[in-house]
Amino acid sequence: MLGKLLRKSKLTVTTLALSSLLLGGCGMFGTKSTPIDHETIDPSQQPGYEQPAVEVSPLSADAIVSLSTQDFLQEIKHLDDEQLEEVYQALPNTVYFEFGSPHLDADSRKTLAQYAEVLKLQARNIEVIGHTDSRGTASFNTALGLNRAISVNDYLVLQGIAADRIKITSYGEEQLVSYGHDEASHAQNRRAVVMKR
Amino acid sequence: MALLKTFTLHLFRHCIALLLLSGSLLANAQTTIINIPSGTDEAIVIAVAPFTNTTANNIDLAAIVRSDLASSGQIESLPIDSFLSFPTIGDQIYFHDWKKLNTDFLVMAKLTAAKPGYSTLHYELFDLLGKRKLLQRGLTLSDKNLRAGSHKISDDVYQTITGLQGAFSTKLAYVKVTATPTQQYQLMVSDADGHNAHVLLTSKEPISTPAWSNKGDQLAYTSFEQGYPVVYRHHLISGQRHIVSDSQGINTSPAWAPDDQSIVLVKGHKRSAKIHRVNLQTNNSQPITRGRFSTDGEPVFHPDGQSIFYTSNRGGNAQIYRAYLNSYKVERITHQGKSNARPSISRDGETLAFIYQGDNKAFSIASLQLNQPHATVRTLSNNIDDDSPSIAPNGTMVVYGTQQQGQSTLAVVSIDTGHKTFLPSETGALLREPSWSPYLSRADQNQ
Repeated sequence: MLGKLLRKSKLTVTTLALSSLLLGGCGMFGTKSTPIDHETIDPSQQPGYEQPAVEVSPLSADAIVSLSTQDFLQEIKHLDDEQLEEVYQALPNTVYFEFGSPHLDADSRKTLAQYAEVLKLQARNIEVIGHTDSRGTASFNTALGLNRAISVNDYLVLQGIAADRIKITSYGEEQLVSYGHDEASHAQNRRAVVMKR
Repeated sequence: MALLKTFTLHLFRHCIALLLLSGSLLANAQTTIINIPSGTDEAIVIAVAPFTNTTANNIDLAAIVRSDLASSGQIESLPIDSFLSFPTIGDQIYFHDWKKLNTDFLVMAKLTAAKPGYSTLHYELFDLLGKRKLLQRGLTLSDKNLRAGSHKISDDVYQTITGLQGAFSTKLAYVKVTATPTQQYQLMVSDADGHNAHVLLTSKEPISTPAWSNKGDQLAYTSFEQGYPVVYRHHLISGQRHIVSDSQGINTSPAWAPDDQSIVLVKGHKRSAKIHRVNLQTNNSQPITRGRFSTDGEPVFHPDGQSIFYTSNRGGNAQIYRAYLNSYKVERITHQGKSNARPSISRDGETLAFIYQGDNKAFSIASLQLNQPHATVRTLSNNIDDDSPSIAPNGTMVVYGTQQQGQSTLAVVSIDTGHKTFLPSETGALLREPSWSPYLSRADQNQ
């Protein structure tokens, strides 16, 4: 549905729509949350607008998340470098973990699978940084944060990314994003972030 | 009661050592045995009289001695407002008055001007029950570091009374984090009481896990200044820094071998963190712990140099293990509680301090006697998120990171009595990751 919609739209509209929708989807993952502003993706508001063959309707964030990796690959493989970069910038780059665990859950794997598909079409190298919440000892948390980065590394490699493109490290509990002592704050801190290099 | 017994045992052992060691200390050692209120819960009470001060230096050195001795948890300082007299050196001592106040010992001192920029501190310690002078000493100090004189008095008094070497003249290293105007991390060195703090290193990126060399001339630590954790060592006096380990991934938690010729630390890249030993002459790194699936960290050397204590989750939750360097034999040390981590070991190899997580979610400071077959874990704090215990060189105290009114700060706890003292905090600054220095030579104390 989305693919058909994008292919039939004008290029500017396509790129904007895709990246904006992806941005909307990011709210699910927490870090790059940008509220969907329907105004900005209304094609009739775009300069140089021509009447498309179909009517563009914004999708909900859920629709993006449920998009399978195969579909996603179909969407992005026709994009040029600039468009791909926009998609890359819009991709969620953070995955979250259970307390004490370095294991990726289904949502995290889906996030990383999409990330891997974009990376395969690009030449860039990345760095994965593991983090923990503030509980436990600071120094052992550096070692535990590394395990989270390793999980992300191993999954990206499994998806076909060359291992030498990925650098990993850990900040342990040194870079908290939330300073509360409640579970919600702790959960925000237990993460691995994929960074451009 | 049990605590008191342990304490008395310590004293007895040290008295024997003193008897064997030195004839000049003989008198003190005997006095010590006589004066210990054994078998009762009564603490040793000391009166530190206000010091006579004929110099231009405006500093209450007596207050520093009082606070030092009280922080030991083994000695109680008599409040000045209950004094019946304020004797100074040379005055007649009214022993009867002090007996009424249940006071065991009296310290008197006077500070006089010496050559320009220096002062002389004379001090005396009296045994009020035995009605005799135990100590009479003098030392010359730079006016810039008169606090060192107070700490020296505290050391002398503590050792004379308890038979244990005092650690009041030692130093602490720790990390200070300030958020405004910008996030800033500073490696600090202060007196053991947290005062007289100096900045060693300032960075926008995190600094953590400082560790003193055994000679006391260097600190090893983790710095994130290159965008990932790298271990450095840093000469305190020259400020010269050397990279100890900057492998890809993580490099953290350094600890010095007893001879300061190598450092054990934690490294990991695309495999779990493991403990490695870096030879400081060759920069050669050798793995010490192995195993694909467990994470190992927080190593410290046993003082005999033959084994290390470290944290590993090889059994599921984090526990403390001991690995022998020659045989690669590994034994589990902690068995009580949900998890145990971040070991610190005393210089005599007898006491382990660490972070204990019982059945609840709290992480507290705990100690374990290593050479007692059925020793149980003793918790020394009951905070939610205590971290980084580090044992004083005399084995009696632990400094650690804790929370006070929601702010990260440092505290000291007596292993024998559980007595706690919060170190001075700064508004808007978080103090973390303390490390207690070894005994330092006189030359390092600016005396």
